[in-house]
Amino acid sequence: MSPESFQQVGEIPTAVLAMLANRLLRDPLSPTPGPRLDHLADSEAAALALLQRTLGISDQDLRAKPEAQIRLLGEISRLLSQLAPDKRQEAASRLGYRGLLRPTDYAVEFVPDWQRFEDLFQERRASIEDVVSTTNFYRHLVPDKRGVPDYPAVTLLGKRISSKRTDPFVMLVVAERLASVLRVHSAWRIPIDFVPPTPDPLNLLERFVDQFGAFIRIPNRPSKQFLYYDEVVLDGSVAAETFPLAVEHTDAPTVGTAVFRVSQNGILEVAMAFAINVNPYKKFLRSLK
Amino acid sequence: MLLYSVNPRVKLVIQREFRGDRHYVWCSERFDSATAGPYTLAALVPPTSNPKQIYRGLKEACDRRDRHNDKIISIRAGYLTRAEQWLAAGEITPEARAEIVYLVTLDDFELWRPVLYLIPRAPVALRLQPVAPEQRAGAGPEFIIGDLAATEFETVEF
Repeated sequence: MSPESFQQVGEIPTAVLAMLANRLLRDPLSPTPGPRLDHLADSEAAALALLQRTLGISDQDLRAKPEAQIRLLGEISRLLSQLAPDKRQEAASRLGYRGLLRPTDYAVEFVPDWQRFEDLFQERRASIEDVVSTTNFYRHLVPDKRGVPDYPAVTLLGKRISSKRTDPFVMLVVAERLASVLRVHSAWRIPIDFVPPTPDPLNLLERFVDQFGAFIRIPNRPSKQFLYYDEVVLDGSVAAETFPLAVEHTDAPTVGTAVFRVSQNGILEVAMAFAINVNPYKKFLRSLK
Repeated sequence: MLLYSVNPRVKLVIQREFRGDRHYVWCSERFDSATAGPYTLAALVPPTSNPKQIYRGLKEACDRRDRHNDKIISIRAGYLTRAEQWLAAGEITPEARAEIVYLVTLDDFELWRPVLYLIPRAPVALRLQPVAPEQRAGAGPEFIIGDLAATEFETVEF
């Protein structure tokens, strides 16, 4: 296509748009003040003329008026930011997995056995969705092995809850990041006296697990209450399916949260795992009433 | 001695994620040139280049959700342009270019909130490029650092 044949702004190649924008943007090292619009290539000149006609910007205004330059930059940005819907969704998924989006940009879903958790602790899906959409603080936890595809990833979200019906607490949601989906694994009411003025959700969760957690049996290692971005070599004594419900020295009921996968070489790649003793936690929940 | 630079969060994210955590910054010797001594060069940095004013302007634009803020439009256009250039130069993949486009066009003013960079001057002194006088809004000194490492500055938000 010859440059003179641009009939619509949508026909202007992105490379030409980028060159034009570059001429309009301030170059801190350039001795030329204002936009650098002299010596345009034919394709740039044709594109600029079409853009000016479309926006009704005169040559004089373009050279002298910053607001005209900003209008043109805005239009070029609009054209450069066109992405096919599938490309946009794919970009969102990749950014979402890497924890670069805000919580409201993710869809929310629940683990398949969520109903069991809900029955046990009376935490309703709608309440949890509200915490995600109106969270007071959150943290996308990023694995050290961020280059490894599909390495499990976790996001923690907290919200201060206070109402006339209950003492104040912080609801802390543990969710797995799967592309642009947050899959909720569990949600815990954190005693308000655990919560500093500017809380870090990971610290809050660790303190909560320290208070209410059971020790998890880990092959070839001392048992632990809390696993966070860790790798466990499976030796057959613990089945991946039951992890982290293999709990040390207790017959008391526990509820586990585990975000993990088993790699092809048999390594349990854990984003987060812990188990909560149900009875002490329920006693705490009753004390909130 | 410190140098000061104000940038939106999205810039911090893009440089970290797509440019190997090397940061391109435009910086000044004072956070607020109005507090510099009246007979110093730093006092000659005008409001449009004054980090404090840039910080305030971005913060107010975000609070107002102002889609037509000149600074935001310029930075967005800058990244859309650079994404094309980086792609053409083989420095990023088409996927990364799409991610940059997604980020800078996302309707999320949290990404445009200002961040103040505090840059100890001594380690970067030899890499400071003076901004051309024609590009400065005033006579006060301003500098470019094209490859600031993440370990060479701290960030503050307030």
